[in-house]
Amino acid sequence: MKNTIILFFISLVGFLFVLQGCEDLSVGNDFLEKPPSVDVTQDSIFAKAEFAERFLWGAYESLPYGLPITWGDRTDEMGMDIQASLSDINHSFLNWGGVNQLYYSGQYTSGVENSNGKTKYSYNNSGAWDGIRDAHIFIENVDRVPDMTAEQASELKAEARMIKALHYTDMFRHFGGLPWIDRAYTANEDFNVPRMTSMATMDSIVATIDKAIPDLPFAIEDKLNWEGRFTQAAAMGLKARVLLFGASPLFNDNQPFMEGEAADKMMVWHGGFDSNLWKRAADAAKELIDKVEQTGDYSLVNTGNPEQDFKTAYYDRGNSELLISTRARYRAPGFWSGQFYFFQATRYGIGATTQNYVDMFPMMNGLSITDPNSGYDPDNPYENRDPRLYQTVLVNGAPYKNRQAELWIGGRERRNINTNSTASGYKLRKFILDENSATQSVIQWPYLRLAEIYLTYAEALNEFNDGPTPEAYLYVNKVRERAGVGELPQGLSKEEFRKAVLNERAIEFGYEKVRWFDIVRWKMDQNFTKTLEGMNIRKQGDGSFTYERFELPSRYWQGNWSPKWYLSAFPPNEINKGYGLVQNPGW
Amino acid sequence: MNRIIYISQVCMLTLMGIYGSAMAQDSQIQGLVIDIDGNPVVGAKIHLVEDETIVSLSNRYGQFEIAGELGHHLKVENRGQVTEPIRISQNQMSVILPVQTNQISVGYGEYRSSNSLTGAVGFITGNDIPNNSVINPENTLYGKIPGLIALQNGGEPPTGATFNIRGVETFRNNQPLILVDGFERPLSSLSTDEIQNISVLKDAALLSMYGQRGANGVILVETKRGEADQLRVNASFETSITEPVGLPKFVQAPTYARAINEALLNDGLDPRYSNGDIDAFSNNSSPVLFPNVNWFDEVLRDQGTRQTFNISFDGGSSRARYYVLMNYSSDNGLFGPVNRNEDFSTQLKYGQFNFRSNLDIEVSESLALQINAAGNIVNRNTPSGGDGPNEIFNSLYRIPSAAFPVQTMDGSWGGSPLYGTNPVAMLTSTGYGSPNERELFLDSRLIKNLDNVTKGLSAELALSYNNFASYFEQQSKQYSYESVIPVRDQSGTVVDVERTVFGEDTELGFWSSFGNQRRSTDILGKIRYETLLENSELTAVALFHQSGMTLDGQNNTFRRNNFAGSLLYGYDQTYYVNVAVSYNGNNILPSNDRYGLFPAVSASWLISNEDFMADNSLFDLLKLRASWGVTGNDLIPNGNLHLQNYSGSSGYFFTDNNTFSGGTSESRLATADFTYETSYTTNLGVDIGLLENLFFTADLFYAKRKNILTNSGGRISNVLGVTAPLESNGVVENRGVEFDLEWRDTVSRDFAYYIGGQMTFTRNKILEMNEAFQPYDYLKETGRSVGQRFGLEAIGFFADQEDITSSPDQRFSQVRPGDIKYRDQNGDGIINEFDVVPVGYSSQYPELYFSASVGFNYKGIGVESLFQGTGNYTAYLNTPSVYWPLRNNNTLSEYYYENRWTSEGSADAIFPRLTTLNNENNNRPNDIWLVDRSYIKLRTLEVSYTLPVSFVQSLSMQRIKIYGRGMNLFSIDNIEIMDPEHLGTGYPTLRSYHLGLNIVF
Repeated sequence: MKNTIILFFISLVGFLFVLQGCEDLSVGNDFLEKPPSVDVTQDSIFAKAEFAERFLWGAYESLPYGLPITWGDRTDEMGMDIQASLSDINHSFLNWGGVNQLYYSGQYTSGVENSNGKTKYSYNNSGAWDGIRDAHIFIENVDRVPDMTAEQASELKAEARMIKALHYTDMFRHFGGLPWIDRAYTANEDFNVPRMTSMATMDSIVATIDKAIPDLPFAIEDKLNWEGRFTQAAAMGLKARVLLFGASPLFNDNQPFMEGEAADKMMVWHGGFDSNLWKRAADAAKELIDKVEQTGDYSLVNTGNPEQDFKTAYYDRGNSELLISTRARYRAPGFWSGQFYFFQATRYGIGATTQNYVDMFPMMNGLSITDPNSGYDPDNPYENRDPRLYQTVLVNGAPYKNRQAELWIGGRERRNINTNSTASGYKLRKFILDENSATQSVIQWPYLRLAEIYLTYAEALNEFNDGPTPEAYLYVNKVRERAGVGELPQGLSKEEFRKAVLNERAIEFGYEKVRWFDIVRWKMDQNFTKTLEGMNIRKQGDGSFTYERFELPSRYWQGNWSPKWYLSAFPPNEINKGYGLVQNPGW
Repeated sequence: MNRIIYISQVCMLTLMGIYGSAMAQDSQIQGLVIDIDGNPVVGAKIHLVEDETIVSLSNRYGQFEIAGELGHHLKVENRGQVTEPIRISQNQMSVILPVQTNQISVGYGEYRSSNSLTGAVGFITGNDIPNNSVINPENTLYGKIPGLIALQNGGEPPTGATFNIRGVETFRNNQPLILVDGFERPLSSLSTDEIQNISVLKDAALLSMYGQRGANGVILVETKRGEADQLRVNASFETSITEPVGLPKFVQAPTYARAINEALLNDGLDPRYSNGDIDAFSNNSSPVLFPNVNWFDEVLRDQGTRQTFNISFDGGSSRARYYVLMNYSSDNGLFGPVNRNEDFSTQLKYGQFNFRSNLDIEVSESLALQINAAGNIVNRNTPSGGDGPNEIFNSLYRIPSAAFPVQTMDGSWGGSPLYGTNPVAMLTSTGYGSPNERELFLDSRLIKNLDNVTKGLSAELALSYNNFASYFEQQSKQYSYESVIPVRDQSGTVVDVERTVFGEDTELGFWSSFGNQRRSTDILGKIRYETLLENSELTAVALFHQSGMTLDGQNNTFRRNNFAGSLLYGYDQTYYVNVAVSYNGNNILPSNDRYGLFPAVSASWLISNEDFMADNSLFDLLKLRASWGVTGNDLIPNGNLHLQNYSGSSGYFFTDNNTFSGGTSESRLATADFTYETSYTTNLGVDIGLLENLFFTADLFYAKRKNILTNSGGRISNVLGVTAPLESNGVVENRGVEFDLEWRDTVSRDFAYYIGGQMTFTRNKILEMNEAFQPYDYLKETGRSVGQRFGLEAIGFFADQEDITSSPDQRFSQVRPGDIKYRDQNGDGIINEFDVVPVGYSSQYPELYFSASVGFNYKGIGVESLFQGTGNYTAYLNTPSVYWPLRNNNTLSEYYYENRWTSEGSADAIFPRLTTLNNENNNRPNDIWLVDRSYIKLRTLEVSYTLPVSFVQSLSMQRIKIYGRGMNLFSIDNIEIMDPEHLGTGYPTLRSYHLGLNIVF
């Protein structure tokens, strides 16, 4: 009996080991060879064209998106706010966003850049460096992919260069001169990438673009499958954007915007005025415009329905004037989805348009509202205005959700005077549409449109030639024509024309991350310090409205202006790593 | 500690001449084997020299009988020690073995007598454990073993303790290795009754055998085994009540309303409650509109209950022995209204059934087999809402008494969309969950005596298989609640109510899922050689151990190979030298560099055994120990850190249709020098026995841990464009001292007592952690202890606006009078993140850990107590409502309210002004919230009565013991209103009272 029990136990234990043994036990050192994970290595990626392309699509992911998406995503850069709230066109009432917490309150310091993700551009967390690295890894390895032709590889490499150039363009506009990364570094290398001068940075970006241009198709042929990839037109457009920024007075002037070590080392200005920079910008724009006209591949969206055309131009993927568009989602999800917080953030108040911005829109006839002949009626202020106004800003009485928008105090859009989303008396309409039609629609970020190149060309011509040329007028008016607005008055002075072009840019590209950089590159400090207004609309017993302007809450820099705000601060922890970063003036 | 009581019992038995009735035959020689401490030696083999076929075993009292005649000789063999032949001079004789039978387990199946021990080992026997009434045996180890720092976590069964051995030596994983019967298994899966003894290996002398797993220390647990004798049954029953410790009191509704108004006034906002409202809260005139709910009272009962049944059987013959245990513990939690549903209870219930069957079989003269099977089944019942108990407690800590009523006028649950939950409804109306767990441990060990090859040679093969699986079932539903808000006219008078229903009532819905699973398999082969020469002894061991563990999910397979050996040489029972080495590797490390060599050398000198000490009557024992060695720690992140990995990313959307192009991206850069942590440890120890009553052990130790993985992101620029790699360059040094002092005395047959104390003090220092550049030295973590807290230095509260204006600019949030005023450490006129300084100590572990115990036994009446405390330990008080009140609509503790800053005279205020805002200025680490976390707790107090042996014998029993016991009876600490070991909002820690009966027959 006892032996039976013993045998039973031995067999039982033995059996369990046999069960497990095959998998879990092996003799000697082989036992340790089972790795704890299955890996994808660089070799396996660049062993096949399909895998290599995937790596490039991964790099595309790093491209910036202009609206807040979700926490921790690459675009929560303003803590769910938008860059427009820093400029004079919009005011944010989102009290926990970066705009209020850091900028309106004056709490922004260089130290904030160490860790806070709510600044307008995070040197550490924007994803730019990741994108640049991925681009380099791709460029350095794609030639060894066996099943890819040299032509394919060159084109893909050119796209990778464009990813790098685009990131550098954005950083150039936020910081000035930058350290230049020219390969995929290893961790143990000695980083010796000192900050370059602003001129060298611009030239390096342009050189990168120039290297990409010959290898790219002017436009995507297979639009059905590959719309959204970088093209030659995109490259030429980006080049014009960089050159225009570099030609502008922020950097291209006879004195730096502010003294400091970075200014001494010409990292934040070019060291003197050079009118040729304007010519370079004009030439770059002209080159693209000529090729557009020659090939017919791009054109302003113009079907004769100005409001609809304007909306299509900034909103729809693959429209004929998009040069660069970036993507983070396929469709906009439901209004309350955490996958696209932009919608919710507007409810919390990020999109309160200023009266100052509304005033910038001319009458339909092309005349400014300040022009006595314009026909502007202060008691009926939204009548007969530039059609773009209605597609950019929700104004009282505009068609909205199959009814009229009620932006008076007590109306459905502005329940009370403190309703965050409409606390200025207006509400952002661009991208948000009437809320209902925005959800579930296909979305993109219009990073660069052909219309901007037209205005860039006009602006640069005006500056280089000391006054507007007929061509300058022509391209501004092309943009105005599409918008259904009358032409610019003839005979403007250089200054008047410049002002008109900047105004045109503000109203054409509102909320498209253009206005902030225009203010900065022209050092228009009065746009920081001026009083910003909202509009209190009250409905009278007889159904008519009264309009009363009021001052929006003040921003720290209105009373404490310093030119240091033109550029962002570098995070001190990066400067302390000692590879040659020099802090921007004032920070 | 309990040892002496056991001794006194044995002595009583012996003196009373109660030799077992089985020993009645006249032709037999009867004897007793005891060790030098007087402990009976169980299971010693007694040989008749004249006839080797005649063998006997000693029973649990050390007694034996053997067929022999006067003039013959006996040899006694115990765990490899054999005595010289002893002449039988009378029919009854006693043999004293020159050892302590507390053969101390030192790992890999090896035992050392305390004489031959050359390393630092802490040891307790199972006798020390039963005076703890806990479900999870981890909770028995507070203050029990010097060097073992055990910190309590919470009260919800089966929450266990956090261990570290001799403090902290790495800023990564400090977890010691816990082995049960030689294999890696959680201590928490045992019941306390099945534990025979626990050893803690603390220095490299023995830990180097564990190689890459040794550096954090090893806790060895052995379970009980059968002893050759007739059947013995040990049955016990215990019933207990538990009550929560450290639940803070929150203010009642009128005070809450006044506090809110004060806070709003402080913030420059309009008050929320009128005087009329406050009156209504006070006189309870309208309990729905103006409720005053004590949520803790509504949800909790005063006491929970617990029962434990334990029964074990052991016995056997000289050829086969068994130990079988069954243990069932059940705990009924602290929730009050749990029976509102007819079909089920929503009480927090925990039931654990443990079983164990340990068999020892002598298959043949030279072949022994052990088969152990054990396991447990855990069934629980919880309220189902969210994370069950903890979520309910989070709400209890959050919702003000004035927020809403438990139920509204028509019996709906009260509530508010502001809070979203009603704690009573969470408990009673969300259904229930039943998490279930199963654990199975099997192992077998075959020991072959190879005396026929070479005398003293033996071989051993052991296998183990362990499996854990959990399964979660839930029957959950949702509830609706009604918000009732007063509607007021212009003057503020309530004219109507606005009633809104939120959520919906649903039926019970079933949901289930598999939880964690893990399995592990071990194989161990060992060859052992032992020889006793004239004046010296030699033990040599060589072994191979292979272990594999698979956890949930992918990338979680851990595999390890260990080749180890040790050589112990002892001379004259006075000089011992031990050399140990292991060569081992694991599958996490790069294949060309996964093995490491871990040598250690140690020695001891028993001065008291020297000839020149022969005449001394003072020292019973005087021993010096020294060790140096290398150990490793492979608790490093797995996932092939040394390989550059790429993974899928979210991809990109080209075209305007839904064509998605999947992306790939680079993961964190590979660690170039990826390896295990290596610790170099030196230990010096002294063991002293004085006057037969005093025992003293002290150790000094120093360890330097290298190759700790650090984050290089602080040094490498972000322009790298990818997460910077981890680097194996961290260095931490740790030094300390520990001692154990005990006085014990058996004064007479009737009276014995003991008093003892233990202390461990460690201090570590980070020598290298790849820290990012810090502009000021005081901001540096390097050079300080692991987990050192940093905070701003508070220098009072702002008295008024003028005070604010004339002080440095505090940049965290807008500052008002009553906010905390900070010292400008760097003198730049700005208070910001550069003004934090080290405050207090670490909040992860105490530098000082100590305990004291005292007890006596008088005529069967026993009293035992254990106090345990900590020092140099810092707490961060950020418990919502208790310390950071009102923000996020939370409630307010009475303690805060009484000690807050107010605008009129607040010289003795401890806390800043009330505010309803987040107040980043006040609510951040500073020395108001970073406080001393030291405590002294009475962990155990037991009063027992063991019935007189004569009476028990008359009932044919061996022992009857009745006891009353209290656990965690009180705590002396700084924090006062909460348990310093439990400052969160979860299920509280428990104080408990137990009544038990233990019968052995």
